[in-house]
Amino acid sequence: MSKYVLGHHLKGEGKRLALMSELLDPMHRRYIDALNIVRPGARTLEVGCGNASISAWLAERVSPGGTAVAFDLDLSLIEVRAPNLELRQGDIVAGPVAPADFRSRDRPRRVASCCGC
Amino acid sequence: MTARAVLHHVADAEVAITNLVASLRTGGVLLLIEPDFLPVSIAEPPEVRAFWDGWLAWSRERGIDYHIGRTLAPRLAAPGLTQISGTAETAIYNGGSTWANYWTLTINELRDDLIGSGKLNVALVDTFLNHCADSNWWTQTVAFTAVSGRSPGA
Repeated sequence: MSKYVLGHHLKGEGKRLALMSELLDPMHRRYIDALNIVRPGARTLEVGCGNASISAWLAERVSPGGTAVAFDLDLSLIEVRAPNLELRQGDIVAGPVAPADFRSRDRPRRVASCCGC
Repeated sequence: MTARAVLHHVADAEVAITNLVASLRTGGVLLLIEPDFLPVSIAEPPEVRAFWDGWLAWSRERGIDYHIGRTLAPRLAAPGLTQISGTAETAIYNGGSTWANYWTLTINELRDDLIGSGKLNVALVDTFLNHCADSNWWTQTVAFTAVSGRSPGA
C-alpha cells in the first residue's frame, strides 16, 4: 500500500476520523440500507474501517446471529466494541480477506462462514 | 462488503479491487464509496479554485487519486460483478460548518507537506483557511460516488 499521508500517528487523526464519520456515515448507512441485504444473521466486512463507526453500526444491524468484521491497516483508533464485531488488521493490496482467517483482535476465534453482505 | 474512502489512497487500486472481489462470497454485494473532486473545478472565488488546483497537483505527486470515483463502475464490471449501479452526491457547506472544520483540520495537519511540495504557497493555504472560517462563504468540494455490484452465481 502507498504511504498514507494522513497516518493514524498524526495528532489530530482521531478527531479527523470522527468528523469524517459524522459527515459521511449517514450517506453510507443510507446506501447500505438501500441494498436491503443487511439483516440479522448476516456477515459483513468493512475494508479500511478507520474508527469502525460503520462496522459498529453493521454489528447492530446483523444482530442477533450475525457478525461484522472491521478490517484496516491500523486498528489503533478503534474504540468501539461489540460482542459480534471482529477486528482484523491487514492490507487489502496484499491479498483477499480470507474468510477462514477472520479473527478478533480481542477474542481470537475462527469464523467458518464467508464474508460479504 | 463495503469500503469507503480507501481506494483513492492505495498504490494499486486495481489490485485492491481484485482482492475485494475475491473476498466476496458467491452472491455477496460489494459497495464502494470514493471521492471525485470534480466540483472543485467550479469553486469560487478564483483563489479557492487555485487552492484546489494546487491540492490536486500535490495529491497526484503523493499517489492519491481524487478522481477515482468516476472509474468505480467499470472497475467493478471488469471482474464480472453484476447488477452494478451507482450514484454520486456532494455536500454544499459554508465556513464554520462541520465540512469546513474537517478541511481546516486536515489542511493544518498537512500544511508543512502541502507548502513544502511547492504545489501550494502560504498565501493560498491561509486564504482558503480564512474562507473556511467565514460563515458567508458557501461552496462544495467533493462528490462522493457510491457504486455497488454483486458477485455472480447467487
